[in-house]
Amino acid sequence: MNTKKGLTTIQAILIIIILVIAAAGSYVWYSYYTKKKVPPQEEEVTPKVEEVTLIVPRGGIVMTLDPAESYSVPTHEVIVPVYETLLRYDPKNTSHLIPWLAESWEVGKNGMWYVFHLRKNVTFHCGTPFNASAVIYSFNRTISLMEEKGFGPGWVISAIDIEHCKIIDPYTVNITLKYPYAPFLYALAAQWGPLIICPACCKAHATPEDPWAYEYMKEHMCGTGPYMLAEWVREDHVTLVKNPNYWKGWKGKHVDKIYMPIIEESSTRRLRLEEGSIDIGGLTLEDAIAVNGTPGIIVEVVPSLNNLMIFMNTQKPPLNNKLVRQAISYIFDYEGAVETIRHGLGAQARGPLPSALWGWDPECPQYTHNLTKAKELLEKAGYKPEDIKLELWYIETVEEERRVAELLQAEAAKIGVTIELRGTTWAGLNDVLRPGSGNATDAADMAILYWYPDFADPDDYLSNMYYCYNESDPTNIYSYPYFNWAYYCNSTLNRILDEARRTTNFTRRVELYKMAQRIIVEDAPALFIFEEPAILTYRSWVKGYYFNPCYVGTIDFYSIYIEGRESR
Amino acid sequence: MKLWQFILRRLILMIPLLLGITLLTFTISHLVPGDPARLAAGLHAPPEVVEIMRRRLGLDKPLYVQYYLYMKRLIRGDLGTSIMTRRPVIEDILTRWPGTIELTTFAMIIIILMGIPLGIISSTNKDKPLDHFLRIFSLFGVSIPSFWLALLLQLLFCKYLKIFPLGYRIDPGIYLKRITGFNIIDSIITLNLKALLNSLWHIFLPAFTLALQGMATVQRLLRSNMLDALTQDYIRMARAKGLPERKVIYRHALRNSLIPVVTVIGLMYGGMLGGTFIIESIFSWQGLGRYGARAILNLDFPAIMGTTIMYTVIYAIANLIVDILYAYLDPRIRY
Repeated sequence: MNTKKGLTTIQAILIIIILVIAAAGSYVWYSYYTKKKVPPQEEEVTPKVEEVTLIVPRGGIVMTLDPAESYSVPTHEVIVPVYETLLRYDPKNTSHLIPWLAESWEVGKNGMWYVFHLRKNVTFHCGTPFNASAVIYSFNRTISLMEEKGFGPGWVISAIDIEHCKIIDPYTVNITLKYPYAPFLYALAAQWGPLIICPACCKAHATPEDPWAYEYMKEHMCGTGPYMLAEWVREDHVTLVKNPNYWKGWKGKHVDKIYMPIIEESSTRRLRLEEGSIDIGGLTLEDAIAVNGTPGIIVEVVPSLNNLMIFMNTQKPPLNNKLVRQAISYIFDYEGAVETIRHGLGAQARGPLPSALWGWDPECPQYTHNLTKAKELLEKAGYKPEDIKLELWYIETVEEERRVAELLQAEAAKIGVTIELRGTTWAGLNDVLRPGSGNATDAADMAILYWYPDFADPDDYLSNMYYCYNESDPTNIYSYPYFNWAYYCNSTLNRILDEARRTTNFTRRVELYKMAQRIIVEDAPALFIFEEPAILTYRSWVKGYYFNPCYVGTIDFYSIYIEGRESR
Repeated sequence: MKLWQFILRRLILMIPLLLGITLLTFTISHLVPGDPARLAAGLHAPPEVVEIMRRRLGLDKPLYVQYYLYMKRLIRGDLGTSIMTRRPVIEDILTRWPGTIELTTFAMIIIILMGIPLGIISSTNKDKPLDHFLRIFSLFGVSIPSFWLALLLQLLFCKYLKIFPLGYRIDPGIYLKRITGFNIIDSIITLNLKALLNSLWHIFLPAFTLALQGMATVQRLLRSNMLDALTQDYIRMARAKGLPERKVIYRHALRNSLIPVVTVIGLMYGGMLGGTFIIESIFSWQGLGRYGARAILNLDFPAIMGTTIMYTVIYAIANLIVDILYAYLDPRIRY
């Protein structure tokens, strides 16, 4: 007998048998001992009173719990249910502000001061009452931390002149500004910057080296919001629980707990949503389209305030010629982009503002895909198409930006214009857009920007992206706000934006912003590609979930309740 | 040289190794274009706020001054504060490294327990159908990209067959007292059987995904070495002496064939440590791989340096262990 053959064959058979038994055994164990059986319809089941947990994954890590520091969407998803603002945006009408921690307000002459009448009977999670002192403390803390440590959100309320703010009585506060700033009320409703924090908790943990208790508050939370921090396991999950003393009360249906694990991959979130182990998906466009129509999953498309643009460096030849920029605006296939890149979900942008934002001009001119017109404009500008060679920069990890760039490149090639694509990181983009020489002519030719608002006011878009500080030195990159990637300077537009920022007359502001949009479209410092609607993906047992376009990436958990879900 | 002298020498040599690695990593990470101050302040932050952040992080100083300050702190054991997490890097690493080590070690156990037997089976059934099957399997294992494999296995075993969980190290509802940070070890120490079984259930699929390529490599290498060993004179002598075939294969052929395999396994361990990022992301596994990758994307210099130093130390120790194993496997090897 050949024992050599016998030994190895037996080994192989044994290994296979063990693997099969292990797999089958695991499956049997999982099927019968972990899944709950659905009770028959006719059986009356007494509902168990149990804690209702909503499971909402997050696509990124929480960097800090301090509202004065947090300036990223994944971090703010945790901050917003805990900390509140004096005002909130109306989800159905972006121009309308809802009283929140402030019940009413008055605007002073020339918009230099605002008096807020605060809501009474509101307490922080630690039990300390919310009052005028807490408002001034919170604003002072946010602005001071910005000035000392370089935390971003403070800029949203940097118009406040803290030294001259006054407590009129415990529930009335006068907020004075350094200069007239008409967007101020909209800034006060923003999710970054004007969040109210508990002064008592901060003061209790302040030290001479850390007078604002940053070291403590970056790991602890105390606000007035409907939910409180229960647990934070770094890079794993955050758990929030109901604030039993929330000022709006808990009548009606709500969730008791929110469990927020980090699940970075959209594909993994999709699998979990399909199996029902998470309640809200937060999926990418492709994954949302894939689950659309799946029983038990709702996919909803709602307007947002996000838009995509390609900026053109107006200080650098040949893009310093308006006709060339207009020609490139005619090259892009806008409808094709919406169909192929957005799968029909979205619309070509009409101007620099999104259509859901107040002040948007529905009559604003719009470029179309017209290669003949593009060639005519180039000729008029004195250029042959083959003379135009440009570089287009985009964030390489954002699939949509890459596809938009490729589409422009392909269309441009049809008439002989060369556009070379350069993918990079956010960190790398900064270097090409803000060159060390300080000269705008050394900056990138073109770059893609996906914009979401800091606060729902046209000033946040137009002043950040189309204003210039110093018209007399247009090639100096420091004459422009950081996001004016086109280094675009138009003195008429500047005057319009200055006036719109000063006047508190709403009708006049709308009129001015409409004028501004037309000037910008005519000058074409950017291609206005498309507006991106938000896509909500969630299980059908989640009720009350709505999207407020003014609040990027965050959810109003207080309005949500669960109905019809088996207990977990 | 005695073994303890050899070990001491290797540990001392780690110091210049670390110095070289820190200099190289520091230089490369600072040469990459980007602005970590802007990422830390917030993308929409105004330039003046970004400048404040840049000064606070010390990024406005010349490179050589930054390196000097970093090394001054490093000697005191201070790896700096992460720009991403705002916490001391050492705390971030201590929180995360058990997850990566546990995953990688479990994957290594799978590689050894499956790769070696498959290599033996393949070599002792040369040119038979079983050998051909195993060779195709190993080709598949070394060729397939890990991210694709991870997604495929997740789809198959988690969604359709529902045998394994989609991710994480343990179910959220199970309490496990953290002692070492290694869930399997902690559950053994605390005699928490439920946590142990649950941890094993969670680790199997990501570890298997990580192990597959290594398993295929070990199987192919061992097969090749065994085939060579089995033709040697000493094997013919052993058979001629009447030794059972089992002893011929395991006691003589395998032992000699294992030496290069042990080298590869040692190198593989270090390689897997650095390659866990994809597996950790797809399986939501809290580990150092994801942390390190995120640090690179965000130009979080303290985190990049800290993670690199950590990996260097682990890699050096893994290779030291491999060298010690040589002495055990081959009595002729001495230091």
